[in-house]
Amino acid sequence: MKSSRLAFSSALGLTAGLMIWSLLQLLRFIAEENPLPGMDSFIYEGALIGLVLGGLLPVRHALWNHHAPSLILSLFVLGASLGTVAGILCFGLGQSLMGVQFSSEWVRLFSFTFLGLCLGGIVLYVRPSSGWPLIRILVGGIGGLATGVFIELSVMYQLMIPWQLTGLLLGGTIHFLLLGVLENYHVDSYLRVLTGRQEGQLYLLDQQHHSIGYGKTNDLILPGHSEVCEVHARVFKKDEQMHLENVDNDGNVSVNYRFISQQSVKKGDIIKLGSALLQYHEV
Amino acid sequence: MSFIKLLVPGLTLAITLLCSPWLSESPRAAAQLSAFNIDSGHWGGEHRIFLTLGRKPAVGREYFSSDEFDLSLNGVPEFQFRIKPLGPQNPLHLRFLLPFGELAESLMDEIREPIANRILQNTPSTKYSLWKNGVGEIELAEPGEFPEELTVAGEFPESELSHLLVEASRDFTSDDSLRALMVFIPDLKSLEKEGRYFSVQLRDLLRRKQVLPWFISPTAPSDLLKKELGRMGGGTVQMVPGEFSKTFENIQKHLLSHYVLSHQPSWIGNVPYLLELKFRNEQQPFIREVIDPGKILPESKEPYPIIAIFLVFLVSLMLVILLWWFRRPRASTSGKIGFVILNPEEKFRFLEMPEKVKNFEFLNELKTRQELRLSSNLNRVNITKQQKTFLIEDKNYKNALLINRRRSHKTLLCNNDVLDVGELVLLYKNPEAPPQQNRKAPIRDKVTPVPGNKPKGPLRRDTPVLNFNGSRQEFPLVRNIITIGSSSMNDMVLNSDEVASKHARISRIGGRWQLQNLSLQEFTMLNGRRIEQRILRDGDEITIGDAVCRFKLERSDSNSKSPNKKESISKAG
Repeated sequence: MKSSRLAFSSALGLTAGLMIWSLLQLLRFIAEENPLPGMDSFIYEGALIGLVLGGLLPVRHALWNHHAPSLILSLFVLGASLGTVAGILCFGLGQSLMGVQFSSEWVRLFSFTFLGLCLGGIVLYVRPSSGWPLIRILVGGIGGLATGVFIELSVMYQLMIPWQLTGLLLGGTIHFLLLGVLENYHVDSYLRVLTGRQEGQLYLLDQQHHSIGYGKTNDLILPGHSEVCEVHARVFKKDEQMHLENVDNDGNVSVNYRFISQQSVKKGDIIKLGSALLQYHEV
Repeated sequence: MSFIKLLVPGLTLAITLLCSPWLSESPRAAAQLSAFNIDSGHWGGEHRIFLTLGRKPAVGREYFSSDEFDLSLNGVPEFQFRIKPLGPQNPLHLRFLLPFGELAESLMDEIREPIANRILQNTPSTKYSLWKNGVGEIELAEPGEFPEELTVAGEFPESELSHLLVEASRDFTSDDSLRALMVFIPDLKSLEKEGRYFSVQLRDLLRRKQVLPWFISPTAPSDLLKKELGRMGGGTVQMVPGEFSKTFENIQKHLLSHYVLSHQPSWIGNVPYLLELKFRNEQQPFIREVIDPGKILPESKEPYPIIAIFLVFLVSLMLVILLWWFRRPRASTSGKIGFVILNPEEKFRFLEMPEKVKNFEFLNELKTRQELRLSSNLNRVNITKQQKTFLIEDKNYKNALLINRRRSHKTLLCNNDVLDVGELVLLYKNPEAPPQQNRKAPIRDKVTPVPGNKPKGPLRRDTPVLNFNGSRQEFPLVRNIITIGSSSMNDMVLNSDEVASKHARISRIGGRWQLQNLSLQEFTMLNGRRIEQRILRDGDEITIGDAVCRFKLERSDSNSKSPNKKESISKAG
């Protein structure tokens, strides 16, 4: 379960690398005929890298949980626009280091690390309820540094396959992989949806607290249930145990068919939110 | 739908963007920008750009003057600039790379003679030198001496050509000269075998070092090599026996026709900019190029065909969609009537309800991975078909069969009911069955004891308490024997249909507490297990009918702290 999500993340990372590479090649193709005004192509490249990674990093949960395309698209657009701005700023900052006689290797490493840090922040901003903010940003930075190192290595060894592709594929994967490992580290339980449109879906409880409801800002979204509120319940970890709390007074929350306002849940418990049925499992 | 609405304009935009390179194609100028030196311009120095103009000055004049041009940087006109031909201030530096390699002896003689003559005759605008790998520039001891290195034939290492070019372009002295590397290559074909000529990094380096590579070879050059060298401001010449001197004259003449454009940028740092140069009376610029301090992120060699790039992009997009699609929830039921096993070890498989089913005995044939224990008398749980669903009747009260986590003797199964059969958990799936909400018996909740007389006087600190779900009040066990049930005769009264009149008893045996089941029909559970009698431990969960409480040996902090405080105050007093 956890490892399959890690594999899913890595696959998405590979895809992100492929997408960045194709966009960079597209940019180059356009720049070949019409010189890009104003800036070095490095900044354009940074913008494209930021666009794809900033767009895809925050939506990996939405993809994993098979959310509606419109929701994924809106998350992607938000993340991508933030990522583009971050890419321009970070790579522009890197470019300006050239003026103080930094060699291009250091400029690349610096730019990628800085962009990684920014991407960590963007992931946090787009999906705010995720815990461990500082570690997340730090992990983003490590991912960026690793991308830079991979690209340096592939430049150094002049790989047979297009070197940029190799570096970007590895870089994209490492970004997603590191975040996935971080999120899997604390996971020891999950919810399984028993009824409704999402029947059979497994939701890993990988954060300090999760909100459940039909609203799009929730972590676990339960669409198509008549009696589920916008933000219905909250699952949070306290004293190494998962607790369930009723958030909306209009909605019912019950554990093992007994109404509760707040209670700890244990393995195998049947959770009922309005008309939706969930089961709590431990890994 | 909103996804598709967004997709259509998105695709249109993408296609327009892709087609834009073809839509605005500009004719290439005959003039060429060969090399530039902008390193000194980081902090307000001068940028020097070497270019050929592609035409001759008007009759009666020797050179063009700066007044005849318009220069614009990034589209902004620039007035402070000079265009001068190569001369004593900006000389041409010709450097011959040694060794030549194994050329035919007749050719060697032909080459040696003009080189030997010229190297010794530097002019104000042209400088000649010899360079050998591993040695550097060769100093000639005295004029008129024929350099020994020219006579020695040696193998030309084609595979290290890039390396040689980098090394040879490194130790030029003056910053103001245009440099040309003359490389004699015995066989250009062997170069082609390597599969590529120059990396982009090398191209950038040579351009920024204002070095123009010229390849001279007895074999014919390929079109690709011609194009690549042309882009770097250099060229390639096929050596025809007997005409070497003439060829060399031509190359030199071409190199000397370069002009130097020098201007002072108003910005600090190494920023690429678009340079446009045109004759004053013309519309189209004859030079339009980005002056780039070198790619920070180097590119791979040749741009890939647009179709391939677009395909890769589409594939990556499809992969994202595929990954999303791959995670769609897959319901295990598909409209059939039956049970989903909710034990995670059983992979949530679906168990179809057998036809002509009479009781739950069919569950005994189920093979489970964990060998889950089932109730022993499953043949006494009758199933009868009623309307479109089933009626379950439990004839044996000792069966640990729970429906919706609750004991029931006779229940009409509804869609999404959860059944506990021993350790096996089943979810009933029947889309045609009435929904759970219509079930008649309301689910009662929060069964808590009827508050009786409060115990008089202070409680002993080691008095255990019962903590009921849904109530904050704690019920202390003040007596040695406490009976629990729905009858008012009990010490603790629980008003519920599922609680027997005399249901259970908690008694003190020595220093420990024991829970005992008194009811035959209803059941008492300790930590989820049905029990008859059991010693209680701190934190145990007791289920009596549908009331759930927790046994605690000590009262919670809020109650116990206050007497402690009083004690400490009294002690202090």
